[in-house]
Amino acid sequence: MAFLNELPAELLDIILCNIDDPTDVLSLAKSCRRLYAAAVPDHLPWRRISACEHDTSLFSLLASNKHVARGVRSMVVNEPCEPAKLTSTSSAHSHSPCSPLHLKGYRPVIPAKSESPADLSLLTPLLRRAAKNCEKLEELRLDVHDLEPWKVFFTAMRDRGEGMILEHVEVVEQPGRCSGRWLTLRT
Amino acid sequence: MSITLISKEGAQFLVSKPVADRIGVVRDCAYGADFWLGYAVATDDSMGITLANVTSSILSKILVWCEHYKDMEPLVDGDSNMEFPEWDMAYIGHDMNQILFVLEAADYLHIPGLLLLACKGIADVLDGRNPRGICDLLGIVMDFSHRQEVDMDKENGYWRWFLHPT
Repeated sequence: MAFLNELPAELLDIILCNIDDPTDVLSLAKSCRRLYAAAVPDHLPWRRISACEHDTSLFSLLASNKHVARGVRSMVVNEPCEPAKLTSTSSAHSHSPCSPLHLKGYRPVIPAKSESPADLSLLTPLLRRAAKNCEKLEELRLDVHDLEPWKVFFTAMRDRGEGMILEHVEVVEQPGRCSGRWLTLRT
Repeated sequence: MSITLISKEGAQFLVSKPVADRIGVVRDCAYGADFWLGYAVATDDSMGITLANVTSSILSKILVWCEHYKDMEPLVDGDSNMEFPEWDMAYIGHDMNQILFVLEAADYLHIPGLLLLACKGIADVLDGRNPRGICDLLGIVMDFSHRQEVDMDKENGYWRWFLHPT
């Protein structure tokens, strides 16, 4: 007798990737501990997200909605690739000016509108509130040129009372990324 | 050239090379050595390759898939928006137990295309079922009490706040 809950983790992952409705993912998680462990950390939406820095609608959602923000465990933020770089590479990868990185295991959050990038100064107050709401954030990877708006985010996270958070910031240079800087924060 | 495959029960299946090529372990077993040693290990057709973990009924089901895909490429990993052809979905069916056996065998035999199809089939069977229905289907006992279930909903149901903020 073959049991679904005894399958190797990598097969469960592929099955879970094929389930679109989050309600169904949660139903599966509630059926047994093994499936819970496989489904919840990686397969519920908003757990691990990949977003674009200029997606102000996402950050205002995180700033205003505690329930969504509390779900986020891991976040990758990238800035839009420069148009000059885009034209020099193949036209097959015709990103909109604002598109999140597509990374395995992260759900990309596509910005609602891909018009001109929003003013970064709008981002600062949003990030301060978003950091307070993202209570369970464990990992943040930044692929951005300008870290200035994100300093607010780090400060707000430290103000939450987890002073040790900044000690774990490591900056990793990754050639080939948009900005060449890939900053990872782990709590 | 054809190859004899032997199931767990000892039943023999004679398959042509293009069909056998779809099965990763058979391909490696029969021709893999060709590359390294300069000659094929399975030069004697009558020897046969024993697939000790695969029953006759599942092996014959898998060979139907291999026969169908002997001349064309099945869908493989890498495209999240992949849509399986109708033939594939009809082939995999809705029998959870059988799909699980096909999945296990596809994993053991290294058939990536069939493995993905089986995963998709399982996901479709699970679609729209509640936790109790899933336990009945899988023949397992629910690990969590009703109270724990409610807690899990509270803890993890946050996307509903995004869809219907109140």
